[in-house]
Amino acid sequence: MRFDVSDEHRLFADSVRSAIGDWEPPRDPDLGGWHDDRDDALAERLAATGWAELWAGSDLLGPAVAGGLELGRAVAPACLIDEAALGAPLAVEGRARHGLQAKSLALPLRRGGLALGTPTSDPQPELSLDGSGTVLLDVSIGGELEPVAAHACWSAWSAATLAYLAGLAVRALELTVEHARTREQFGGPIAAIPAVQSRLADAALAVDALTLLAWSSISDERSLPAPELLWAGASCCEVTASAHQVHGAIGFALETGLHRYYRRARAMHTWTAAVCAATH
Amino acid sequence: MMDLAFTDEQVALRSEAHTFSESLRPLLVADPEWQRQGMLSDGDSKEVTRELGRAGWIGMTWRRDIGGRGLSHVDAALVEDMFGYHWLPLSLYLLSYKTIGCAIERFGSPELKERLLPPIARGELTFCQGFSEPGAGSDLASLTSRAVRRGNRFVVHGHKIWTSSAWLADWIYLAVRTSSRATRHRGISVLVAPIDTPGIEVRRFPVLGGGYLCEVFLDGVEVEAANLVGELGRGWEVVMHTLDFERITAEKLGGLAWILDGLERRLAETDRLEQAWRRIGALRGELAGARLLSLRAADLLDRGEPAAAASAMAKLAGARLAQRLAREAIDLLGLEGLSDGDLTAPLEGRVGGLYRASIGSTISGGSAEILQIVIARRGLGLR
Repeated sequence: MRFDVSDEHRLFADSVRSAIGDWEPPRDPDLGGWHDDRDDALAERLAATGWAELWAGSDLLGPAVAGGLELGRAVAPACLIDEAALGAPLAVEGRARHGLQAKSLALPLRRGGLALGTPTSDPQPELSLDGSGTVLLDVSIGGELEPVAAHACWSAWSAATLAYLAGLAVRALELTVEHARTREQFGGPIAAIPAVQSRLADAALAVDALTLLAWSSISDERSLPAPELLWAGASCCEVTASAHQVHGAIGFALETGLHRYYRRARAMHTWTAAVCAATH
Repeated sequence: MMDLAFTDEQVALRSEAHTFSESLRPLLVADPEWQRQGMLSDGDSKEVTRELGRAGWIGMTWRRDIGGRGLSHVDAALVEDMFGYHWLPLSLYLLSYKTIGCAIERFGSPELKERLLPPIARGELTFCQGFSEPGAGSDLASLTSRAVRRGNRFVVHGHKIWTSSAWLADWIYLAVRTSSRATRHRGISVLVAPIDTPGIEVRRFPVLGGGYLCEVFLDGVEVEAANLVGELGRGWEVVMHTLDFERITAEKLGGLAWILDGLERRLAETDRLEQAWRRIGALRGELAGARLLSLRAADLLDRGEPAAAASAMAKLAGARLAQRLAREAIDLLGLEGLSDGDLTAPLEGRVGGLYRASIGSTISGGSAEILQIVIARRGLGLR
């Protein structure tokens, strides 16, 4: 077992970070409105790193984790994972994320199956918690992938999703530690307050476990999508909630952008749980 | 690359540990304490410790010439996880090898190592750990047991409490104050002594987990100066190193994995799994994360890097999982989940026992609150 990240994966993470550049989702969205944070220019820059080939084999799971972590840190659009790993926007329970313009959709099936399908109704935008461009639509199931191919796709998707959740949590914690060190109350930084330290310690534990779990997905033979995703999603939500608690009122203000981690964590967790239920 | 797969050698090692553990089953079943102990890694058994020694499992990470196998701490954690899966009573093993033995190996004099480590590795010499005192629990540095140098001996007076396995151990590992002038942390030293040394009195009392804890009275106990572990007055470093090892609780995670496997099997047998798969999946994720945190801490120890925060994370993750799993298992199983100590019941009646025992897991070996402080200060650098 080795616990250090290879130079190769560090380099890939660097190239994903460069591709993301200064892209960021809106800090001040119209809450309760319909948003799709899909960005074709970002997708193109990312594709140039080789990200679009994730589905192609198990030797790409390392890059899936390295890149997924960076995408999570940036709260990047979820379609970047779905389309790279599954070949199309994800559709489950009569909804597709980033599905407004979709010609084909990736449909989870029982026992880890995967099919491609096509919309058979006009997509209806659904107002949703975050900016994942959710639409309601009917879908007809097309060809089901061979089990080996489906397994490869779900492996990549699970690895990248676990990493994305870890990345969200990592960045939310970084922002919060930074805030705790600089925000002063009672004559000193709030980082010195035991209750704040306890909360951040729990968040750090979760972040480290999430990150290790993401990297372990490279080498684990498991049923897919992995049941670990259910815990990972819930843990990520807890970290982002703690981030808000420690930030206090300033985090509640939209302009800080902390809400993006909190909302995306819950949306990712809920979509992930829906996929796990559909493929169970 | 970060490669978290087991090597072929590690797979073979775990297989060997599995076969060995299974061979002990008749010995375990015959022991009434084994049935009522809710967290078997806290269980006491001299017989099992001797068998572990005979089979070469004690001191795995030590050099071969002192009875070890030259393995890594990651390897040891993988083996201990397997021992835990088979619910071996490991208290004496963990104290004698993993915490105290490894500290002696790191800090002990060459003479002390040569004298103590080989019999520990053979399972013939067992230790208990005298750290906590009535007035020094989480705040260990406030301990008041005192050792005064007289010639080539120390004379010790004091009172230790919450001492696991003292009623069975051959020797005791003592944190004592050897200087009142130095600052709290600098005046502490670590001594080892046979438990039958005149002046040592052990009293055991039953606890919620199903076994016993002890208090140890020290009244004019004479300890050879050669039994000092590490430097005089620098025992805090030894104590902290000891705790880094103690807090990697891979064996507990193995036991929890057994419970989780058994829970899933029982729910499937009784057609209840379909309603519970999501909760089971979340528990599996939490278990996988806790195991990785444990192995990561062991890896840091192998590299000789600071492991305090990583060990604290490993310990806290396992302790919380134990409590969550116990609650969830009873919730999912219903009334049969309350079975306690009945080998013929579902999951061998372990769930009720785990519920009892696990409430102590966020207290012993560093309370959850102390572990959080270690993570916040040593890991995140918060002040």
